[in-house]
Formats: sequence, structure tokens, C-alpha cells
Amino acid sequence: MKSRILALTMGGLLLAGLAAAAISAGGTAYVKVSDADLREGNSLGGPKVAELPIGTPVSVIQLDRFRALVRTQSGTQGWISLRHIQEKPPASSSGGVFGGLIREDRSANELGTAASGRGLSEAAEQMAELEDIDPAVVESLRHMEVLAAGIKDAEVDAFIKAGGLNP
Amino acid sequence: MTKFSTPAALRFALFAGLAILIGSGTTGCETTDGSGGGGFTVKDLGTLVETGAIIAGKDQEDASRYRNVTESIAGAAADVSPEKEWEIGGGVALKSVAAVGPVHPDDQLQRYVNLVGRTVARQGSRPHLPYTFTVLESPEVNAFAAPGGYVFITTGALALMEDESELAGVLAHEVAHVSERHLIIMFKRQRWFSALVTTSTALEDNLQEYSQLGDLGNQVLLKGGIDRDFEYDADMQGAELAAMAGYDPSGLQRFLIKLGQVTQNQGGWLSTHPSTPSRLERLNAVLATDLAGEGGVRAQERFRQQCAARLGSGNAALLNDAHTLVGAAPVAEY
Repeated sequence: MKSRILALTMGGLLLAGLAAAAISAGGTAYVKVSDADLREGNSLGGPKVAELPIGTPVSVIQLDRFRALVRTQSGTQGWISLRHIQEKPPASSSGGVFGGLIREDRSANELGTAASGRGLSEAAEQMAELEDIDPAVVESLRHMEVLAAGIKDAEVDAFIKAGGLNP
Repeated sequence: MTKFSTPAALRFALFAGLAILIGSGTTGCETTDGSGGGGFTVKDLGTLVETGAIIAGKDQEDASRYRNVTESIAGAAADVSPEKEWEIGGGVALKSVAAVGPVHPDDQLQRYVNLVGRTVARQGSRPHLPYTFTVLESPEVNAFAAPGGYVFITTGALALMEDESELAGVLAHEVAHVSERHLIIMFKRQRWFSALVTTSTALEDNLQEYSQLGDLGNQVLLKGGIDRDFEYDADMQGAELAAMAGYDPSGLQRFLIKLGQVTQNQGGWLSTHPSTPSRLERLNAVLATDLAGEGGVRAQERFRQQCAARLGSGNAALLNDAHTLVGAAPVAEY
């Protein structure tokens, strides 16, 4: 039994530096993705109250299964996905014993990638040419990237609303 | 089951601690020259922990499991920029599409699948990643995802589905693979991967290695399979993200039940994932606990109009076959 407890303790210690502490009502949480949606109601597609930049501190008022009711320092109140907040500031300032193993959330950079309009990368294009991948395959993937990039958030919002996806 | 003795546990702890300390100091900034002699890779870290576990008296299966977990944790820390992920994903996507089947020509169908995918992706940990959801024409029942947001689903998989919540569950499963960087973590086990992605040299100047990466991704996604634990994780997240989006969280479960009935002689999800019963066992537990009582939307009519009806005459026989099988399947109702 002792050995089992010791093993479990070691496992716990190893994971302790990596696991995010739980967010609790009455405490402070931090936005961990860029431009997280703050919504009026406890649902996905309701009116958007604000977009909160990564690192924004919020006071947690109430917790639901998937979302939290929060208030910003400027007093704006709304619901946010629990996947978009964490108890501690984003990882660049987290440190700790295992700080070197905790990855930084890079969501902020991902907007830049999205805004580029993309297409396939130079490496992918060159590889396709070098390996005689059917040009139709390459063109169809390019086409899909353009199609996907052309779908704006407003269209997704309308799709959600039309599908009755907000219980 | 092998038990730890106290000295053995201490030996394992020392090994694990040493591995973590070494790893924390090096995996986050791997800049080796790829020659194999200059750096401590994620794979090295995993090997060290596996060795420690064996010395401590664990059997090979357990030791391998510890290695996988360690590599997962350490791998998640190493630095691959979103741009590099996208570049890598493009190569994997090209090779996978060339192997599986052409992109379906119906833009309305593609748009619909993208809307469902974006709906669930909003709930994930990387909601702003520029996901591209693509339907491929293939009778094989399959769905897979390449780094950077490339998600694919075959017409064979769509033909098995009866409503939008099933599609949402499957796409959410793939979104989880992308957002958790599962394939990137597996790539990091290759000694040469770190050098390829962390040096300042552009990927197009290392086309041979870049192409190798595409082949490896293709192998993992379509033949070899992603790690079992990653699959379980993606299943749990898939159900959760679908529920968060307002869908019936049992969609993925219902799809898996049908999948188990039709893919005994096929590749796709059965060959690249853990067995369907073991996945369902875990998924059922989550649905009965964490997600219990989540009603959610199935959006059957919209799915029929926007997807099933658009699959075309070429899929009619497949659809009929699938629905016959569906009728015989023990579909759970929630």
C-alpha cells in the first residue's frame, strides 16, 4: 500500500505543475484565447456583449456546466465559455517549477494566420510539384481554403440561430 | 499487475524527475542540428521515463503508457508556431487527399459542413484557428485532421449519419485532435522533427524532410493510427464540444455504434482508432455522468436537406446500405 501511495504521490507532484487550478465563483479568471466572446445569455449564439483580448482579468460571478458569468474591470458583464478562461494569467508569465514544460497559448497569433487568406503554403505547393501530385488535388484544396475563409462569423451566428442550437 | 516496491518507486521517481528536469530545460527550445547528437528530444525524454518504469518493476505495457503520457506532456511544450503547423498540415493534407479521394464538388455541401464544424470549433480551446472542413468523395467511412485546421470527412461517413448532431460530434472529435496538437506531438517523437521546425530555414528549403513529414502524417492518419489515449481524449472532447454548442451530445456515440457495424472489413476509423467497443465504453460513461441530462438539438431535417440530399446519385446505394444497417443498429436514445 505504501508503495502505491508513494507512486500516486509522485504522479500527483509531477502533474501538479501542469494542471490548471479550478476556476471558482467569487474568484478571478483570465482570458486565455484572443478575442473571446462575452455573451449576454448563457448560450452560444446570443447577443455578443464584448470581445475580450487574451489576458483580460475577469471576476467570476457564477459557474455553469460549460460557461461562467463574469464581469470585467470596466463593469461589462456576460457569459463566457469555460474553455476560454483559466485561473492564472496566460502562460508567458506562469513560470513555476515546471514552467518550462507549460506551453504558451498561441491563439493570439492564430488570428494573423486566419487573416492572411491563406491558400496552400509555399512548401506544400513546391512539394506537390516535385512529387507530381495531381494538380486537381492541389487546386481543390486551394479552393476549399478560400471557401472556408469566406464564411464570416455572422453567417455562423445565423446558422446557429436557424438550427435552434441555443437551448 | 506488477506492484511497486518502495525502493523501486523511488528509482522510478528519480528517473522521472531527472527526465522532467532535463526535459523542462531543453524541449522548449530545441535547436539541434538534427544530427542526433546535439539535443535532448521528446523521444529521449519518453525513453528515459520508460526505462525508469521498467527498472521500477512495471511491465512493458505500463512502461509504454508512461512513455506516451510523458511524451504528450513534453511534446505539448515544444515550440511549433501556428504558421508552421499550418505549413505542415498542408503537406499532410495534400498527401491524404491524394490517397483517399477527391474533394466533393458541391460547394453548398462543403459550406454546410464548414458551418457545422465552425459551430463546434468555437467551443474548443483554439476557436480562432482558421479551420477548413472538407468533404472527400470516398465510400470509405473515415474522418481525419491534419495540423493547422485541416479537417476531412468522407461521403462514406456522411452516408452513415442521420442527423446534424452526429456530424457535429465527429467534426468536434477532429477539432479536438487539431486543437490539442495530437499529430504534432506524435511528430515530435521523430528526432529530426525539432530541427526541421525550429530552425530559421524555410520548410520549402527542406523539401525532402517536409515530404517525409507528409508521408508520416498520412501513415498515422490513414493506416497506423493516432495514439489510443489521444483518441479517447478526442472522443470525450467531441461529445463535450457538441454539447456546449447546443447539440445532442450522443451524436458521436450513435455514429460510433453504426460505425462498428459497417466497418469490420474496412480501414478508416476502425483501423486507425482503438476498438469501437472500448471507445463506446468510455463515451457512455461520460454521457451518463458529466453530460447527463444534456438534451440538445439533432437538427435532422436540416441535415437531410443540406447534406444527405446533396450527396448525389453516386451515393444512393451507399445511403441505402447505410440506412439498412442503421435500422438494425442498437441506436441509443437520449
